[in-house]
Amino acid sequence: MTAKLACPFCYNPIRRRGDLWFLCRGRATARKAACRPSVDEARRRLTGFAEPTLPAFPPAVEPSLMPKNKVHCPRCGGETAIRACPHCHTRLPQEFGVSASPMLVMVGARGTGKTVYLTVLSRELESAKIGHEFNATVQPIGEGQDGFGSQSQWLRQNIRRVYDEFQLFPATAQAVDGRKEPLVLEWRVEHANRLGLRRSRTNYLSFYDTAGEDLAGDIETQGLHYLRAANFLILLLDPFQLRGARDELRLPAAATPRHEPTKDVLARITEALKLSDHWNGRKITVPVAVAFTKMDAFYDLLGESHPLRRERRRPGGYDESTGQTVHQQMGALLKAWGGDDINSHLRTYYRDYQYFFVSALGAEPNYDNATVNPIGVHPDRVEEPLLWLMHRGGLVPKVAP
Amino acid sequence: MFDTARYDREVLRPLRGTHGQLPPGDLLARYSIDPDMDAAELTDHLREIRAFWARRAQAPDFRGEVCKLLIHTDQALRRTAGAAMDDPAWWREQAQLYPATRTYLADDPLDRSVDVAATSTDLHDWRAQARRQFWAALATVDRHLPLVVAAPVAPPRPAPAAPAPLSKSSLTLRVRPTVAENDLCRVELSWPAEVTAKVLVRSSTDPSPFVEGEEISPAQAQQWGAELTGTPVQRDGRLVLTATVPTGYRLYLPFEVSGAHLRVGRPAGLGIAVPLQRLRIERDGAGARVSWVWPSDSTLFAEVAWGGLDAEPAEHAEVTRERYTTGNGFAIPDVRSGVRVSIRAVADVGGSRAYSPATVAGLEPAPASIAYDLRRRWRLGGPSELLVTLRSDRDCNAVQVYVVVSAGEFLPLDRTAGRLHARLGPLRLSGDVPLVVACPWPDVPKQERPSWIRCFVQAPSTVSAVDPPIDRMRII
Repeated sequence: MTAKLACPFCYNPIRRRGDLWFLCRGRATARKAACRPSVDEARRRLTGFAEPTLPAFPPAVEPSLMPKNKVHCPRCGGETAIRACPHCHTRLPQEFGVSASPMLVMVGARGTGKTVYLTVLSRELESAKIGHEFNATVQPIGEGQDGFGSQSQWLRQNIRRVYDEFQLFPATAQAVDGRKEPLVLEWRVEHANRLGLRRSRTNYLSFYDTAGEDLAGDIETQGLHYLRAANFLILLLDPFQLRGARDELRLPAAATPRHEPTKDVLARITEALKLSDHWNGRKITVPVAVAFTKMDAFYDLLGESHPLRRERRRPGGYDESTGQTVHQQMGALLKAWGGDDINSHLRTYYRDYQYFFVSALGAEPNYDNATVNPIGVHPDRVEEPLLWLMHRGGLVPKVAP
Repeated sequence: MFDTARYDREVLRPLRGTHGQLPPGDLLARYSIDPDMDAAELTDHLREIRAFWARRAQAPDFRGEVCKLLIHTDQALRRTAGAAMDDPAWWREQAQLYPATRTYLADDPLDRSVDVAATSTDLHDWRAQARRQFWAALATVDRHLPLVVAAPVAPPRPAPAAPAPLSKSSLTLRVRPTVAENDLCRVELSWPAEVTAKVLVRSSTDPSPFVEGEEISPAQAQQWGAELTGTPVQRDGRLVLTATVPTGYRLYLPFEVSGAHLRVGRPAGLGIAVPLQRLRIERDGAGARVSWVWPSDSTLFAEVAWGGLDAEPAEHAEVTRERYTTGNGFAIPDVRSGVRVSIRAVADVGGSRAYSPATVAGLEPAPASIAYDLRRRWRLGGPSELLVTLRSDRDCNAVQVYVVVSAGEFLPLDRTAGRLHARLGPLRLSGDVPLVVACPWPDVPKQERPSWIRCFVQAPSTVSAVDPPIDRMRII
């Protein structure tokens, strides 16, 4: 059983909010000098963050049932209310642990478009459209260090690159020692409770983008402890890797580089998951959103009246009816493209999965030059896999039929 | 001692935003090499800086990107220069060569480097060869950069006049827009007052067929563009001709009158409210999404007008680049009966607004939409029936409905993917009036479940079938 609470930065489980450590603020008191920042070895080991930080310390053992929100640093005596992960000592938001904070791991073979998808998805989540629809505010959180800018900087840079500079990305760098900083988004939503009172709830969505190369060898895949700690998986599949799909399109050679077969990558992910708590002896229990990327290449082939292009989700949450239609249509297309083995593998090993139709760019890019279509970025259905998973996690409602 | 902070500041940061290939630059600075290093220091330093690049290449920000490019370029250089890179003399040569090489890259690095090499490295021909190859490769990359770097809004500009040897006496124009009204713009064309010959200026949107400096007859000149008439006035040491021209990108070409001939001057181009390109309308549910390519000029916003296919535009909107990006294009809510969209770029010219020529596109009416629903009717003492309820959004005649049954995990994609269970029709559907047709309920053995019932619709005119919710189509 996956821990309900885990650090969104190092993915280590945290038993309860009361176990969170505190981070000294480095303020001098009348009797002692302030703590000085130094490199935290635990943090460096678990997250790669090697800049000097103020020391973290565990909460005092309190007999009281109500843990204190403010404590004094045992070294300098300064008061602090800043929370930190007990494992990696990374600063956590004040509201962390109050509500669920699911960890989503994006997996997929090399060249499936994970980084583009994560960039576009994050921007869509931050957009006013999603904000209005869910009465939510979404923003990236996290701090950075010199040379390794924070993930929010990374995200801004990626968004600028795709949306303003019209550039795509080269292959994602391999994770160093199996770790790479996740992108953490704060999802703050206003809702009415059972008594009709307006309340705010904050969830933290942690996205871990695995490099394609990380899945290239058995050892590396097994080393991905993020995969095992995930609450949800987004599995991205590149339809161009399926011969049947490729034959229906006229794609340039740059769009179809030779990679390891999708089924082999999927099998490797499955093996890694079987070593985790997600394996119940018969099936893998973690919900998997299987998203087919780059579907803009099929727009002309499908035609504008095809259900995948015509039918739109109803706003306000996860639309089960549209979701089922997309699942069925994509499953039938997968079969027609000769991807029956992928479906059989998923059916055999995974208890809860659903297919999605996704185009992060919304228009065919120039694969040879790795540039976005000059008309701009027009994402299509990118949020649907996440809404399904968030619905599974109880974070968004189902749209009434 | 390798100063990483300084390296970051002086080498990595200036290269921020570089994609594809590194532009030519100071080789010694990129390798942070002191020309006074001895062989041992150089070897150690190269090892250190390569390790630094490898570490920094993991960074998730621009440094990672730049360091990957540095590594890539280094690998290419090692292939060409080989062991010479471990020789301090080679680097000292680079230190001498660099300024000349850098300034020359834009013209023809290969020839120039040959000259330089011949004068300074007579004893090291193989190194000169390696260097030539390296700089030539970089220059090639440099020339192709515009192709690699995205130009999302490149306007379709006429090709410049054929290249010609630069003439010091070529007449050069300055063109400046002053004010605009709708799709016309007033421009000022000026040239030095010292030019005593009479000057004619012609303008066109097409590329000039003339070569700068050549002498042509007036009849030849009249074959290209239109003459801008008016009397030039002297102002600030220049002769200024004011003319009104249509908006868009235009080329202006001066001619010096020399007896019975005209001497071709240097062309000047100016884009004022360049039209929006690649207008595209795509159906999005009942509505449509309009997209286009923005020009690279200072367009303030796009004016979008739309209406029925045969009617004047009834709706207007001003779409800024930000609104376009945020809204993933421009959405029109309902286009089921077809739409005609016209867009114009609007630019600021001296406080007035210039409108580009309109770009127009249309979308035909959506095909008739025939929605169906499936229901099982149980009958006492008899076989149950399948009730197919059809509803069209407009009148449709001679509609054929094929009821297909298919076994498997997923529904059939077309009518050949299953067994034809029933063929209903020809049917006449009236707009929004449901028609219920009954046929026997398909008898599907238990071992073939789940199975699917899906209807495929055919009519003389184009129609699109709308499936019911998935659970109504499934036979469990």
